[in-house]
Amino acid sequence: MKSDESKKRISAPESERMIAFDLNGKSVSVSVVPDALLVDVLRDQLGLTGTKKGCGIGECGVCTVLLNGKAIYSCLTLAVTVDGGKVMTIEGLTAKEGQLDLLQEAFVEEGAVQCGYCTPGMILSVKALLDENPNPTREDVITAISGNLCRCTGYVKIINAGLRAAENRER
Amino acid sequence: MGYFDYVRPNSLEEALSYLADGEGKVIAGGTDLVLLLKEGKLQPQRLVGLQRIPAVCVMEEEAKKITLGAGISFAKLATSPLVQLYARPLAQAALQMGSVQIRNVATLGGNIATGSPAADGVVPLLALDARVLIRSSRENVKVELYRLLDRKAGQAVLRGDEMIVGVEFPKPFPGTRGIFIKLGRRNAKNIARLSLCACLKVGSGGVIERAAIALGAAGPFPFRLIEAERLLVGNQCMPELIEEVVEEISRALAKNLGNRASAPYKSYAIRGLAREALEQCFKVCDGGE
Repeated sequence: MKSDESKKRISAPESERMIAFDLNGKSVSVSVVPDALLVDVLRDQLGLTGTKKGCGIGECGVCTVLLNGKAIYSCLTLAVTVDGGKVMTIEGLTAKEGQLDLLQEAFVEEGAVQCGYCTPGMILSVKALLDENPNPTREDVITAISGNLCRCTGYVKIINAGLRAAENRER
Repeated sequence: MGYFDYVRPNSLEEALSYLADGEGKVIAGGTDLVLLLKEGKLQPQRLVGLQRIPAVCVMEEEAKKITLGAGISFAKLATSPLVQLYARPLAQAALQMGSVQIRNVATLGGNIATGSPAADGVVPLLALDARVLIRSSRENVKVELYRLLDRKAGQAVLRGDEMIVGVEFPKPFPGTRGIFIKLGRRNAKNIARLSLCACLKVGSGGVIERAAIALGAAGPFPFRLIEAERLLVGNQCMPELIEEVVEEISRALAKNLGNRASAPYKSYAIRGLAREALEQCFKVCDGGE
């Protein structure tokens, strides 16, 4: 009984399907298997390696992307579930290659980047906050990045960068 | 992950038909489910997405009850004026659950269905006397949340063909104050080591008319503290009463945990949590709100 069951699963077709979504302002279509994770599709199939892979269990936040404007963990998201949605990765922050967004500038100005591995996720978490709340308090920034771990900076400079980005946007 | 199909039905009925053979599994936020799939602990033949079913995201206020859809995210629960007004402890719990990224997608229904002993959403719902609205292609039932938790004791909360569509709870009596507190290892993303929700209704003259206290992460599933509630009802809000109730809560927790390694720590730590919760409820009630 049990072996029949497992045979059935193994022989079941791993059916790929097309999904279409808005990625950084452009519509993309990509063929994915149902168990493909968004982080893998972004990195391996679409070549956007700015989104990092870390813990793979929704703890570290380096895989953070925006789905319909909200921060999510792309390592806990099945790619099929974003079909029809709007995804933004760190590559979508500016329209032009080589140009920096105000948020990225603020991170540079505050020295909020050390090894850099957490940075794309951190920046997107701060972006989600600022898009919703242009005048955040220090507490708001701390809450916004509480799902992102950084092992280098001690967070102070990242929080300062978040606040500075809010000021820079105001100008 | 094993192979599975993914379907996104357009109606509740269609979703239930995909679950009818017991081989489907509902996916909402997926923050627990995807982990279970990755670990191979679940091997469904198909996942049923809920994005096209607005019925699971309702928030309804009626004369005597509140209904919340199973698909409501924790981020929405935390900020909803309706939840803050009628189920403040649930809003407090929602705000402390996971991190921003988790709260944005994780849902109330998922929190119940996963059946974690520490489920943050479940503890306040227990104290609010919530009923769970469950549908399958065979039937449409309302089950008291505590009965549903009893059903499982560590196993799946739902039968294979069932789906949680929402919860409902009676509107608290005016003047009822509630609080949710939890202990964890860090502020963000902590899984509760211990959590408590207290809802008290204090009448004129400081006499407690109603009391509901629920505990989480203190046994296989969250539970109500019936004895402690009995001690409170009919008595005046006095510091001596708090101490008496704190002792009773600690005793009940120790009994529920048995000889688990965490029992000595938790039966001690709960005193601080319980005292804080009761004092805050009393203080607010005293303030004449």
